[in-house]
Amino acid sequence: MKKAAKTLLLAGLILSLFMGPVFAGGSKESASASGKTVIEVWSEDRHDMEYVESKVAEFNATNTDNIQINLTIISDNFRNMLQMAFSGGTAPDVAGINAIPINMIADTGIAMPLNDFIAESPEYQKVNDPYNQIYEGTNSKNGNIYWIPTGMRSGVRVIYNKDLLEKCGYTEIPSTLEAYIDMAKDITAQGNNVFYGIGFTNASPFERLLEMVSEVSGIYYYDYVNGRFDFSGYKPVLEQGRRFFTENIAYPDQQGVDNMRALFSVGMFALWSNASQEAAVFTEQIPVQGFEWGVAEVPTLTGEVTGALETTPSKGWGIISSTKHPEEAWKVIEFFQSEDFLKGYLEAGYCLPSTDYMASIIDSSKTGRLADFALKPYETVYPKPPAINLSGNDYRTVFWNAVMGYVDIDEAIADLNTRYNEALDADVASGAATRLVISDYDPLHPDQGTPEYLTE
Amino acid sequence: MEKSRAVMSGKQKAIMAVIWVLMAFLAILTIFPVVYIILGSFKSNVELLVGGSNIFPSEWHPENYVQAWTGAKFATYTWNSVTISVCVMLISLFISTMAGYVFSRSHFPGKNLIYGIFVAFMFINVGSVSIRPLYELATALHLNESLLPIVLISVGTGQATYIFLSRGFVDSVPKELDEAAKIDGCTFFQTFIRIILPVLKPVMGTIALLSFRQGWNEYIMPLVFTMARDNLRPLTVGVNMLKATGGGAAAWNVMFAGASIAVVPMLIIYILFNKNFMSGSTAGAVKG
Amino acid sequence: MSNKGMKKQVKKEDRRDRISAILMLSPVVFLLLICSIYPFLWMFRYVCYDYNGFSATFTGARNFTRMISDTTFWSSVGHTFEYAFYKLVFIIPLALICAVLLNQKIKGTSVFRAIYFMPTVISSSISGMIFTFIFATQNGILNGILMALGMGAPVQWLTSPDHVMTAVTVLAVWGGFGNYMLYFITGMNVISEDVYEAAKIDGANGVQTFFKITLPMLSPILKVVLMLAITGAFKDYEAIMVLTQGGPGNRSMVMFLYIYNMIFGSGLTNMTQPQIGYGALLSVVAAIIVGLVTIAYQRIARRLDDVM
Repeated sequence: MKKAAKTLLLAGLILSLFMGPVFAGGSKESASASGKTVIEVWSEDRHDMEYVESKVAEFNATNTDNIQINLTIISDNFRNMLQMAFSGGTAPDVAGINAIPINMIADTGIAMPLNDFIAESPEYQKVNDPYNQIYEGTNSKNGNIYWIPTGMRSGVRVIYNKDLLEKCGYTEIPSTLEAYIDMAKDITAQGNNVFYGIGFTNASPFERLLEMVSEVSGIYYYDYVNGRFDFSGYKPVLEQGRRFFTENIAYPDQQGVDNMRALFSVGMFALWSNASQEAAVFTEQIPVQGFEWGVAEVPTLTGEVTGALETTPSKGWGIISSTKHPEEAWKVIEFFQSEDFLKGYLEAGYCLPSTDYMASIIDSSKTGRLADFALKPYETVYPKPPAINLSGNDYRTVFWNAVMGYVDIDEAIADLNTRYNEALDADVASGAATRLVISDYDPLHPDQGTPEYLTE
Repeated sequence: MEKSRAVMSGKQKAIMAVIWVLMAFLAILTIFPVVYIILGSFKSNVELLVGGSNIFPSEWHPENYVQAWTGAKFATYTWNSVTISVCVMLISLFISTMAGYVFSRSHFPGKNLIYGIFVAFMFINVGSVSIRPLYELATALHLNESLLPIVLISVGTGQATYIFLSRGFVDSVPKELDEAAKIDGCTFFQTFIRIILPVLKPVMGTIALLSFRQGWNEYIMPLVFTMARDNLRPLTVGVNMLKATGGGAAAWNVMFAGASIAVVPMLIIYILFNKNFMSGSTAGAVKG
Repeated sequence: MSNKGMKKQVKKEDRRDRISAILMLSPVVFLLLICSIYPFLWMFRYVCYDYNGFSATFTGARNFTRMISDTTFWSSVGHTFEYAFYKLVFIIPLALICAVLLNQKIKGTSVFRAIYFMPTVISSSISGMIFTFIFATQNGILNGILMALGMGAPVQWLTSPDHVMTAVTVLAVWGGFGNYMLYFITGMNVISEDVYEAAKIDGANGVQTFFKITLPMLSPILKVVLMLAITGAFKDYEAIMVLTQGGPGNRSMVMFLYIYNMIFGSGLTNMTQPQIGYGALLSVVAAIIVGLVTIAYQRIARRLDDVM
């Protein structure tokens, strides 16, 4: 009996010992002892952390505006975290919001329009060329600018093992999808289970080749002229893509992106495709071993480029509207988007420069293989189709299921056309979304039309 | 028992040997993935990602641990995980055995209704949805700057099972025991402390272990609650934050090292509990 | 002391006991209110809304009609039943056998017990990660071993819809049987040693002892464990999320994973947004499904009681 009481007492003691830190927690030093203004900054990028942190430390030590940057990296579920923090009142002052859909930051008021700040900052304008980097539905809506990219991620490229190609009698990447698949088939045949023609990952594989082949062939899922989703155009690409599996061309397993990259890096298959981040991946994180690798443009259906290839503006910073220090927050953004910061960032090869000015400043010999991913004239940013409340799978999953043969291609297209348009109609009717129409839409220059938002 | 082993026949011995071999085989199967993480954590990233049948690293990279430990604040994370788990364990132990006792022994109007609600919420699982309102509630109460809400929510979501277990156990304790205590002048609460708790030792061991583990393995909830507070993150969140997003490949070997760091303290706790709680024969106490 | 006074005394004590009982119950009730009932009511509000975390639009019965025609959801319900069935069929007998064997005084039981329980201390986000390596088709260790043992072609554990359920079940059994084993061992601690001794004197062998003594005496705890196992199996999704993301071709999509995707909008492209309202409705439906299964189970368990 006494023992039990003793145990309880002990438990209480331990509890109180541990509860100390539980209650104390991390106290937020909003205005630290030195009287500095603390600006909380959130980023979801871990790969560039070393550079960004060292620059931030430098800034904290030297800036004359009494600003202290407090950088937090959240590489998991960033979007939801930011959203929840905003509704809970714990959002940061500045955040890297380039990967967040515009409706989430604009319609909800999470991010603050930067128009006035930009207009008053000639230095920012010189370095970032903001008025030529306004992408409707990506960083801007209804004339409000929410962030300006400081870099670009290229569209998808074919990345190939030169040695394997040569060994099998090829010197370059064909320009039509059919010839591309034939080549992959031939390499697999010659590889005789030792190496293969092409590999796919299980993480959004459709996006990494076939969708981009469709784009440069003028096929897109949103019909901008009529303001409706239209998936019919993908049929020929899907039928070709089917061959990868009916004819046993592809490496017989689809694993995570990093696993497939590693398999490519040891020469397990000859063809891989992804955007410009692979430059750093194959030189530093998962270095290619023992062969030369090349970069080529993705093939098209006919061999002619008839549509624009989608690029991704990246590394853009926005001010969260709940901030109490918008002026200081803007100063922090000016620092992140300053010539000095960007020169080191871009030369480290984290992304391609997005302005002619920065392109002329940096020493491109330092960027390594990133130079191979330089933007093509037919690459651009697409206006974003409306975000909708969709039930069931998105088109990338459904189309990959069609390529794998789990669903019929025609049925997949019909299903997507119905589901996407029903959701769009319902969301437009309820006011949750607006219908984007660009009557003068040109598939080679999707960003140059005049967007209109219809409520019916 | 010693005696009965001595009189075992040859046939029984053979059966025992077969059983032992089978159990050892199962143990190897079970432990293999754990060994795989630990050995994988010494591989280079490429070797780990390429996989293959060689379990041992071709070249040992102990620096993965240095990277995990210094690159992320693993010392802080470990302390946070320990704090959360210990608190979850102690609170769960105390309140759920108490509740099990009350549900078993007390009679007051509405008791069965409350018990029914508990059972109902064991299967009405709103899972991931509940994080959002709870986070908003915690920030409204200004509790989001500490580990307290994580501890309380973890206790709150796990307690039903433990109450369930405790009640079942108290039910099996003869009522004569508490009546005797009552005659001795014990109050309702004193009876619980002096009579019931000691008898509940085996189930308390189980609850302690399960609730400690629950606190240790919480992931999505602390991920949300500690998003802006790097120094409050537990190990599970810290390990997953080693993932890289968007810009490049992740250092899986460092993640494996982090995962190994996250597993080891839990194993130590388990071994301690295994000795202290589960081996003691408690049948006598229950038998009364 | 008069008789009346004594009665008063007892009554007073009863009241005091009752008050202390209520006080002792208050922490769990408080946590139940905060952690279970409040979120449930919060969620219930949005069942008829489109809610992306900011703006809620009333849509009447649209979520409901969407659900009726949402084939992905209904197939995920089917997969949940399939998964739960496979998991329970393997995990419960395995856990029970291990518990019974470990209760014998065999050398090394404490080591075995520690090992069997080990997987359960690894968080499912990490174990999902390890098993993706183990199950890899071409370079996975499992296929390596199987091929060395003479199997012809590698099995596509995670990339073929025919095998993915096997892989998911293996992970679930591996990660969970130690848990149920622990429940059983706890339960068996209640069975008195004397009963076993008596059985031994009567000349009962191990198997007879199991069916005549252990199993009947375990039946109350077995019932509890089964119920925990059933509700648990229906709620699993974290490990599956890491291992297969519900693929290939949705073959391993279980209902709580689908709901998670709806609520957090993860796994979806930039074109879709979190659908908390719809996810809330699906959660309610999922809760009803799990509830019905539990009720059905309890009916069956009661009937079994009558038979035994």
